[in-house]
Amino acid sequence: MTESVAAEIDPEQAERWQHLQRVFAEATDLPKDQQERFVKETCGGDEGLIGEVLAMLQCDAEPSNGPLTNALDAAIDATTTDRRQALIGTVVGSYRLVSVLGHGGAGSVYLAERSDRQYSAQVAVKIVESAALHPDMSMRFRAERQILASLNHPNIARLVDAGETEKGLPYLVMEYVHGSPVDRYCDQRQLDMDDRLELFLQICTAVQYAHQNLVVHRDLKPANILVTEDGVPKLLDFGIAKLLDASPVVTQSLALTRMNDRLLTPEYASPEQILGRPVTTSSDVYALGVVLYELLTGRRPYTVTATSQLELERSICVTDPPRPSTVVRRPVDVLDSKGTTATSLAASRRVSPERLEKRLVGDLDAIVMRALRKEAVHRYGSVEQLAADLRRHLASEPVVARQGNWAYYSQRFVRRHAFGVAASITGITLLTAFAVMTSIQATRIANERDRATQEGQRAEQVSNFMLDVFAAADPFVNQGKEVTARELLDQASRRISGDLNQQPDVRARLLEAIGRAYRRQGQFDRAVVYLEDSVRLRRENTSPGTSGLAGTLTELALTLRELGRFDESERSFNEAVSILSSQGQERTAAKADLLVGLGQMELQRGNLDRAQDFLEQSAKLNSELFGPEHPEVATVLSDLMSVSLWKNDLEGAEKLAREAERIYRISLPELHPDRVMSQYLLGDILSRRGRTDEAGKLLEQALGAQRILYGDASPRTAATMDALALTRQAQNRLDDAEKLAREALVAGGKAHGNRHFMTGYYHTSLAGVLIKKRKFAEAEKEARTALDIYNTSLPADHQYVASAEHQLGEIMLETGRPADAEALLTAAVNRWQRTGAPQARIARSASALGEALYRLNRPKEAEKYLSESYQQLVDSQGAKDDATIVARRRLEKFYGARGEKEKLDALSASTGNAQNRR
Amino acid sequence: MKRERAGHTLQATAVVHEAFVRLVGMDVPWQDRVHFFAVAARLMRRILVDHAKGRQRTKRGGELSIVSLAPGTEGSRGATDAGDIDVLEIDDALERLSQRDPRLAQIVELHYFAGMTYQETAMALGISEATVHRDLRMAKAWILSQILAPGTSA
Repeated sequence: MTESVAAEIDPEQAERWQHLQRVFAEATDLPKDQQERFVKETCGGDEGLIGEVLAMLQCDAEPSNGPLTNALDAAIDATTTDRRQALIGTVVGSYRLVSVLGHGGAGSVYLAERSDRQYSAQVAVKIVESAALHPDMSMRFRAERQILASLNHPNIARLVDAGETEKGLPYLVMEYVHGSPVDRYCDQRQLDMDDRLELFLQICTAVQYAHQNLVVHRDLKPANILVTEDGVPKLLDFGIAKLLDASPVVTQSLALTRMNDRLLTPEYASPEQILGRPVTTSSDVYALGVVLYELLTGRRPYTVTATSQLELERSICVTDPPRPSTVVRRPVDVLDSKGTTATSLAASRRVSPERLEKRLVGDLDAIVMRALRKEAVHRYGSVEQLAADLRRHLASEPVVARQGNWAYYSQRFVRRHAFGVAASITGITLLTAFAVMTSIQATRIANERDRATQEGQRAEQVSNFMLDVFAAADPFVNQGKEVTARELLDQASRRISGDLNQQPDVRARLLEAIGRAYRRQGQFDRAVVYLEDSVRLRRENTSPGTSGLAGTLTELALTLRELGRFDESERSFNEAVSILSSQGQERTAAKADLLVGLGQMELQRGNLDRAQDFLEQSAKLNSELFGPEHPEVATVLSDLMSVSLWKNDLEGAEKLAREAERIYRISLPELHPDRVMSQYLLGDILSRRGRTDEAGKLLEQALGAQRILYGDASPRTAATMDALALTRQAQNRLDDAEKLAREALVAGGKAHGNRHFMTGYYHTSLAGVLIKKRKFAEAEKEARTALDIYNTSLPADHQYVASAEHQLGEIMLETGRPADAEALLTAAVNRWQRTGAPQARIARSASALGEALYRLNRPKEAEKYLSESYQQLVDSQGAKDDATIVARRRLEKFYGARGEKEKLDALSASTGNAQNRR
Repeated sequence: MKRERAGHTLQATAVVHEAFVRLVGMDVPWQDRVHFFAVAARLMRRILVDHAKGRQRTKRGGELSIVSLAPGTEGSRGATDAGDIDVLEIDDALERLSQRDPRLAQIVELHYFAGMTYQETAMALGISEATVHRDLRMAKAWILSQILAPGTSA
């Protein structure tokens, strides 16, 4: 529209407009009383222009939005109100709408009564206006409402009925609760602190009950917690938010996501909800923390004093809120219209501000802050734990939130940082649905992949729930009360199958979900046990060749791969592949994912050609299935890039990385894990190609984003720290490099486990920096640790092993132990050769081996290794490469010491470049 | 305390949802953020204007303005007396603005109809926040002057 008009503007008009803009802008910089004179002088008698600018200046009421905003708000209200009013008197299901009770969230709530007047019960009917956002909504809706209807708790408003209006909008009929929001109730009744806590504990009981029934509220806030005249709290909208969940899969653009987010009030939303990550029972713990904060202090931990919603969201994800005790004596936000003061807030709690502060310091501060932690793992493991701590506080017993064992507990579960990361790294979106709660047949979803992802998220939520259950069994939390995971599993399994008409594979799915949960926690050994059980059950109970089995096998294969049990992993992958083939699913996303899984496994195994083959097949298939600029394609390109890297084809790798980064940049939001990952990958390659400045910037960016997304102890954050350490090393900023390498090692250890081969790799990385800093003793320790780890975590013929041997060999040379060096470097050269490593790597070790032999006084062999490796390095890396220069220096030294003047001269002549000699 | 307020209170009203329903229903390949928001803003504008027009039709002869916050000002409003501006007037003025300066009109749409903040508008259009501030101040003054003191425009 605007584009077509733009072409028609005539030049004279345009110039006049420009002039008007300029005069207006300059006039607004002047004091009011000088503006008119200025305009008249500047416009040179053009009365029309003068009039126009003066009228504008009169209307210029900087900075408020004023009249325009008011007019638009009014128009929106009018439109909205009219549409709602139009519904009064209509019949929805068997209920006649009587009046509007309120609106918010995703729709409006009406008071209604039975249209047949069989009995006169009043109900609340919620009509979901945003429903059409999801084509598959009504299906999810039907499935979910059964679960919600089964929630039967005195403090939860019952779901009576649900259905669809004639226009296809879903509606929910709920028990009508006559009461006030909990915050207002407490203030009106002037409940003191103990009464508030007691009331809050009742709320916790209801939430806990729902969690035990696998329902997460997702939108807890005072408006959803009403208290009746009799003082009974009732929770509304349980699980409704999930029904309405805006976009579990971001297939639309970033903008849509952002706009959708803006429909929700984020003040009670947890960081994971804002980041669009899976919502768990822990998100409810967080929201309860916000509610508690508000009930205790009269303030919210984060308020919209931030300049924009974006800002608010950022602070929720990044900044810690002030402790409750620190806010109660502060002046109240001026935006408060009711004239609230610090004194009146305290008075409605029947104390003075000073006493209130005193009451909060210590226990209550600690408890609230524990619930409000950014990362779910650092919060209370369950609502029950939060409630238990509050009870301890009320009973004047020491609270857990202030005790050291929390640190221990957090440490143990710190690997959950990796949660959600593994999912996209390994591309397991094809996994079978874990439809324990429902048996959704999502026939109306156009895209098969989207369905898999959605159901995968459902699975994640359930398995998270299970993890919470396990956490409750932790002896450090539940002192003395031993419950084994297996018992809990059996209980849950019995309960679920009893509730759900006994689906034959429910148990297998449950086992699989638990296995997956363990895998994502990095507890691969435990994961294998559950996954193998699940595979066995599926084989027994389902006909061979169902997709469920293929999914479980894939999950198992991925886990075995993580454990380095490559042969078993390959067998599982292959069986999954043949199941897909037998089902005619040769050209599906599931097949493409399997190919990636196989490719990544071959890559880890060091079979580069096979890896490349699988990955190229997958890239081709994905490109056909989704189009060439789809994130799926970029993901596989990134894997192919790793292969190029291992083949030392840096040019090819850079090309792939740039393309992947480009695709992600145009197809994914800024903080999307994959997009951030691609920045890291490109940065890493540029660093290796010597473009350290560009690399440093990309890597810093990626690291910043990852710290927000995952925290420090995650595989991805560790990898980026490592890459940045290498970049700093290349920039000769060795102290920075060492610091980063140490951070990477700590992060890697937490993320993968101390005996994981990736942790071994970070040891060698640190050793590299230490060698550069000539701290050989420390370097040796790191390199030996790495070899020791590889010994148990990798096959013997792996390039990582060769790399560590080479490193240790160099250290031996530097510290005057040529015999040890010879042994290590010989092993390294042979291993490089057996693994098909690039020539340059072999030559690098061979040159060092030559040096060792020379020092061992075996000149004949030494000369062979030194001269051949130098030539190979010149050929493959060029004369200016660091490794080439080192090799050349060795050869020169050798000839010099042996008095081989001719050969020395020939060497100088061969490149005509002797500047590199020292 | 100064704080910026987006064009309108983007609460989860039926109207916003309606815009979304239409947006999501559209089978448009979104080129970028600006494109998406531009369409969203256009939709919001269309919904509000259509509703206002419909209301005018059904209540012909009755209350003509959508909201009459300042009674008795009909036909005699001064520059600061903007209580009874309605969305149709804004729509008209905006249309005229877009004929003079389409870019400015787009910024107004993004800010007032799609509810983008200054910061977001700046990021989306790749211009500085200061420029957005300046442009919106200018555009707002122009639109208001068009509505409140018609005839000054040549």
